[in-house]
Amino acid sequence: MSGNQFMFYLFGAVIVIFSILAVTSRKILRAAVFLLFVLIATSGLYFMLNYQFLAAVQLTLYAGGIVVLIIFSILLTSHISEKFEPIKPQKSIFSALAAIIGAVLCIITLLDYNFKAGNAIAADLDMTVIGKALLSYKYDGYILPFEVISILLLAAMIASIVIAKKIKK
Amino acid sequence: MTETDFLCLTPFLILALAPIVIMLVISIFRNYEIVFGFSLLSLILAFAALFFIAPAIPHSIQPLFIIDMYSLFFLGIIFISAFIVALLSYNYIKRLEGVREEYYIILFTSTLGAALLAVANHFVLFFLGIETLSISLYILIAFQRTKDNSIEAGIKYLILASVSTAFLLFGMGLIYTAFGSMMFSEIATAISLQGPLTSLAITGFGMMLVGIGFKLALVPFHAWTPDVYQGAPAPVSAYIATVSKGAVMAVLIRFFFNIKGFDDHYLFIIISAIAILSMFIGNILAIRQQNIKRLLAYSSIANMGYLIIILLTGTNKGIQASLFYLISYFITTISAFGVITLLSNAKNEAEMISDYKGLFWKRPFVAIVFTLALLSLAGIPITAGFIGKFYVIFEGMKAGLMLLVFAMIISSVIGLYYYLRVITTMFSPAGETTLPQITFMGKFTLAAITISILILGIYPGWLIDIITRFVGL
Repeated sequence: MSGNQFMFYLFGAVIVIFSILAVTSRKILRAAVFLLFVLIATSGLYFMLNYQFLAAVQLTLYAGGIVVLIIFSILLTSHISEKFEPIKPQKSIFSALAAIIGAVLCIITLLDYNFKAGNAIAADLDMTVIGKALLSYKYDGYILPFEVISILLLAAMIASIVIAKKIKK
Repeated sequence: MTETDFLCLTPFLILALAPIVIMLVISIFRNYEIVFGFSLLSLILAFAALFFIAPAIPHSIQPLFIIDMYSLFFLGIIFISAFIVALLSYNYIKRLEGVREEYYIILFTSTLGAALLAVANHFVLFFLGIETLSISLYILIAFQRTKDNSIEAGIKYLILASVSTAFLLFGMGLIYTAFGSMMFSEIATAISLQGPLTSLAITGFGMMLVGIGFKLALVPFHAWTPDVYQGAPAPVSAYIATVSKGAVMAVLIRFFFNIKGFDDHYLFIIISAIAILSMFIGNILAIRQQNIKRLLAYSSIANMGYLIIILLTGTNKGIQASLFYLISYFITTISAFGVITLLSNAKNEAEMISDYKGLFWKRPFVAIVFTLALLSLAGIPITAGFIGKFYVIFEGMKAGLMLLVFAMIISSVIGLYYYLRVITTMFSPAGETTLPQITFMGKFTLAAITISILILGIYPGWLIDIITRFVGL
């Protein structure tokens, strides 16, 4: 087993184990921390593929930013000692069934897919290329979806203010 | 970007500017009437802009937008429906406590999301459109946040819609892996080069169908529908049933016809099964409902089941039939929810069937409007719903989809039962319930919608003529 293969399986194992722990843990803060490990391991996979930019975004935004946000909102809204009620056996059977069906579907698709072995390592895109494509208004530029995202975030912001604002009597 | 690009984007620019203007206005001083008037004006402007675009089409702004007659038609329906929903919301939202003007801001962002779906030609825009639409809907649904079931509906929709979006994204990812493109037309070319779909592609399309099926509330992804329709404010339920579903249908039809999904054996079976299940389960579960909003929710599940038959016809005629069907379904649904909206007062929604006991003897006008809307949903002649269904059945028969057409006819008969139950309740002797006064504007809107149901039912030729002359993919 080469070093690369070892790292791949290590990251894969971390992702699988901590994902399962994150959805089965009965303490919400723990679940958030398990999620953090999943996100970090995912960025490891990106590094292995030589996607430095994507990996850095994954680390700073998801592992760094979003998980901190999640933990903050957990600390603000619930008690750390609080535990979820155990799931009813009937429910857990059904969800296990759904998960197994999904897994089988994915495995069948993977086995059926005609993977081609290659030595070429994907070249990472230059940061300037990504930045320019995002803000270019010429052919193949992505300025329009960029603007749509800003409207989307605006909607999300207004929405959260509306739902959280105190009602004046 | 060229001048034509900007011209084609005008309706979107208007829809994007309006919420920002409203935001600035209410930060200076809050006036419900001004915000309401401005919203109506902006929607009219956006609609009028469509006529200026018409000479410039078909036009595509690479790589995401495609603006052709088909998308213009959908944009038109979306804007008109949003306009009517805004009109009906006036009194309903006015009497709520807390912030009210923000309702119109969010109505605009969601309409923008819906409008983007109608012009999407690329997974990126498809996804952004659906997300803009859903994020706005979460809040519209939970807008009466002092009510328990409104918040419950909002959270249910939030969680389930997020899960369905995950499926949609995963499916898009798989399709990108299989064909190396996210543009509808390029995927279509790749498919025609590669021959029959691989299992990777079918899994991808299947996953996308889960996401889309959720938004259209097709069985087996329908579980959220009755709770959300019940918990949401009545005009918002109308909005979900029409604008949100219509926009998703627009992008689904474009995508499915681009990739020629009807030629694939597996997709054909999957869609047939979803259609038949939606028709029967929607209609059968509606029978036992005592709550009229839940009843309409189940009825919308069945109606979407009828509509997706069109996907399997694979002809331009089929698309035209689906457009006519959607228009008739839109006006009918809006008028049904319009009645509920106008009959609800500050304390409680008029949502139980028993609230409508003897409505005819107290408010004959509203009762007649509601009767016509229900008859149109059931597909009884002289209403728009009949012509819409007839058109779909006709195109389905021509395409040889006998099983689906028979399922549609049988389940329609089941459906007739619960529509008639509501109608007989309205004509039975009057009960004790007190009803709110109905404003002139509400009456006028309802009358206009009802007249258009009748016009499309009695004399549909002109609309069919317009659709067949201009619209196709």
